[in-house]
Amino acid sequence: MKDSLGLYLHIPYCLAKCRYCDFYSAGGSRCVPDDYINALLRELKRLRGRRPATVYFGGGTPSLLSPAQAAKLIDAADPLPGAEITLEANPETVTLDSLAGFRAAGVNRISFGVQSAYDEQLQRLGRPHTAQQAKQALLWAGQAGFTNISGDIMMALPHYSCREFDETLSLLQQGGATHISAYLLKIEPGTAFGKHPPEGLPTPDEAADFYLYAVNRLEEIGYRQYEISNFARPGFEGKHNLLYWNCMDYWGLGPGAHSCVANRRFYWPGSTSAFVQGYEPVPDGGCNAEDYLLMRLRLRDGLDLGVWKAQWGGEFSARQLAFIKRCVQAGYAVFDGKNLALTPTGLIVQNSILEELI
Amino acid sequence: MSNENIRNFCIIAHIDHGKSTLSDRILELTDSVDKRTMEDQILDDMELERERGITIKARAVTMHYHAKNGQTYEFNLIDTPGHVDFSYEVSRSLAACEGAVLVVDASQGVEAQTLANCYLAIDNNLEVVPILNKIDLPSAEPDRVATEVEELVGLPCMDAPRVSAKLGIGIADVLEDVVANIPAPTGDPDAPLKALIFDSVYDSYKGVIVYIRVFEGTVKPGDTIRLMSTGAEFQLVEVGQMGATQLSPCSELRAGEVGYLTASIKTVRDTRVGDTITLANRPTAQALPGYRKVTPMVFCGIYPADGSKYNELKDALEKLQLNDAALSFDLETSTALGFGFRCGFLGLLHMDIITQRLEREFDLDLVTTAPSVSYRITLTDGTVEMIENPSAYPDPTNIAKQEEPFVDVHVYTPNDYVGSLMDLCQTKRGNLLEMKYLDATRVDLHYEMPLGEIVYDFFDAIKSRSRGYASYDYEMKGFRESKLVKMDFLLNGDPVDALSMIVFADNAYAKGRRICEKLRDNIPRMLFEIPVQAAVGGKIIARETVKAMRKDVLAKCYGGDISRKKKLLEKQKEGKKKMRQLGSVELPSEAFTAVLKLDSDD
Repeated sequence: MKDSLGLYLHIPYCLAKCRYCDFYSAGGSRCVPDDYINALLRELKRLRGRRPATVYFGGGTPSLLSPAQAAKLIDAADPLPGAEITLEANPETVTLDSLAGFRAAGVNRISFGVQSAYDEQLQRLGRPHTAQQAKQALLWAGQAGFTNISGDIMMALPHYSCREFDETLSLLQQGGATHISAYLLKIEPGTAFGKHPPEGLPTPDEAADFYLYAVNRLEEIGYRQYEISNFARPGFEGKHNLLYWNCMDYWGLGPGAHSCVANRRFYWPGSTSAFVQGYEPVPDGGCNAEDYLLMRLRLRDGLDLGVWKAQWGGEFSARQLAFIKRCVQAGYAVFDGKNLALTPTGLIVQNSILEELI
Repeated sequence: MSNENIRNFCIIAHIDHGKSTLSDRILELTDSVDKRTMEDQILDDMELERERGITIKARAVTMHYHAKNGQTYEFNLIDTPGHVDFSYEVSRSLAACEGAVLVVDASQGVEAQTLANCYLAIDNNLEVVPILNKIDLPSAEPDRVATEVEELVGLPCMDAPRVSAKLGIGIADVLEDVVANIPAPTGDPDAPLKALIFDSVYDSYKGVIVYIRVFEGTVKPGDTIRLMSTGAEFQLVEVGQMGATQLSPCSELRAGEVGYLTASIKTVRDTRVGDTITLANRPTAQALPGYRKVTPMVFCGIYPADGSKYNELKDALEKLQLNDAALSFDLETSTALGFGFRCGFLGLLHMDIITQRLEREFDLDLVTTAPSVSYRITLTDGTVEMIENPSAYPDPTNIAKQEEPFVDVHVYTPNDYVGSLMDLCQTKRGNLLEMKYLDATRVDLHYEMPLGEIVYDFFDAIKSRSRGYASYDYEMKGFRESKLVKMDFLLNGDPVDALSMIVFADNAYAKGRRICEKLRDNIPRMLFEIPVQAAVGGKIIARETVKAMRKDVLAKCYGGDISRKKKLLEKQKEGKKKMRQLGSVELPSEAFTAVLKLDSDD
């Protein structure tokens, strides 16, 4: 299992910073400087020839890379044949040409930040694109030869309605999305929304209703839920993120990027200049049976107790088993004695459940 | 000094009419206090008293006044507590005096306690000298108020001194009135000793300092005294008079005088207010009338918020009890709250003062249960039990008769609020005895009602329904037969003993439903829904549900979020350790306190 390696390349540049975003990135950028590409190339040597099974360009806005920069990085990473290579893209930054260029560079999965089909909502979020631009980008992606297309939807946004979700979903479905990530908005401290929370936010109960509605709608039209916020047509699950949730090795390069290699976690602090100058990453603890439990219970497939015990030495106490029984009675979980999996109603109260299990 | 030149008096007033300020001015004018050490309201020496502007305990002070007639007088000013909870102490302070200065606010006029205290003074055969205070206020109407006093209280008041205690105006007039109108004490200094205890305080060096008024005979250090209610005997160490800031020992106290004595007495419980002191070798034939052992009226459970602080709470209560004979406490255990004490108080203010002193002076975090009263239950086998704690409530099938304490309540209010206040009293099972117009706009509503109905928030309810203008007063009336039931509350199907209460049977359904609603609103939502039920005799009479929490998730979790998520969960778990267990439900301590404080009224 440990043999599979994921590679994450962080691109901390954006045209504009979205109001809800707390990832490390700098707004006001139209492209990615070569200094930064060189720093990534330098750090790629840390892999010491270990060939990744997945490569993921995350951001920030990785579609600000030129296809040539992407090609250079992919070549240097030297992924395994058939590797999943994903690029996150913002609709306003792509053209048919650039998408074809990324495809030619080896990118075989593209993930668009669509978020909403309502322009008013996109504006409120500080997204620099319209719904029409998102539609166009999806169309171009198909034309450029992408057959594995993902789209993000944000839910429980200000003044949210099931109709807004439906229209956003239909935009993605018609645009040929094979994978959908649907998140509940979370107001993070330090973001623009954290400082000035928007009006009209749904209550936690309403947010839960939107979530359960979304799970149902997605399943109805053939996007199977495989993780709390992730849905895919069969066979199109995101392989890179599954590596995280299976506690496999991953290297994350770039400021604010986290890694876990041989069960040791570390990360680069959120400073592009420090990263470019070659600062060492900072240790951040290890990965153990608890982590595996936390991650596996995000997945609809859940936790196989046999695997957990054999590979991680994990086991539930009698008290925890009694608690699990209550969860099953309350409809939060499914448990057959061998495999424990949370249901959608259990997944959105996951923290309260995990608290009892760690 | 001959008795002719002694004046023993007290000052009586409604709360806030300026009694303490007047006392301060009198102390200044008689040079009893060095100006430098003069603090405002020097007689109220507890921090809490000063803050609340009330006198909790009586105190006394001896002063010397050079009157306009050229003679020097010994004034013994006995300060009286200003609250109904302490009305027995007030009555004993009054019994130690020959006269009382009645302070009336020249803008507010006659108020609830003006009348109550004034009648008490007249009952004790005191000469009452009225004065009109706060004439500096723009709203003062001394002439109108003087008429009001004459009409309502029946005292001549037109020539009463017009005073501003705050500005020091008219104080000498008050003192001259005391000399002229309050009689000198009488009594035979050679008769067998007969002295009244009107207060006592514990001092860590001298032991209990007993404040007395000598009616007959003489007492001096070395004498063996006997307390007539208990027969306990002590050898006197010291007698003396009370200065405003220190005690001044003297050789003896004679009939007519007010002073203190010490005898290495360990606790104020041995020197009950109202008891008579005599000499062991030459006792008086008859004790002074009016002694009564003060009994607690209101009870509640007091627990340390942190169970390990039980011993600290015990020490603190013991210390407070050294100085407060009316405070009672017994060990109590609750499955929900652990070890604590069932405490008894004279009334709500007393309870409030004690809990605040525990928190402030002893730095304790407390959890207090809803206050209750003492019920008198007669069992089928004829035994009579006083039930102060719902957990001690007997099996209903063994109960022959149940009684609850009733009080006489006077609500004094501007007539605009009469309707709303009558509604309130009605819902509190009040029975209107009389409605009396005090003047054109003010009304005295006289009700009898169960003490249990006013123990919690009656005061607040009265204030909120009258925009703060109404006041009330109550007096024990005795026990009346009643129909009571014990009501239990269940969380998750498990009874929580700390929430049980004894209620009037006909109100049980409505009360149970309201409390369930309040519990529902105060218990935070958790992973599983929590049924909240009220039950009487095992039968569920009300039910609410604390709905399950719907959302508690970190929606996104990729590489970088993993350690963050773990930290978040650990923090959440740490927070849970601080929670208190209430039955099978864990509550954060704020919710815990809120839940226990619940009463049925809004």
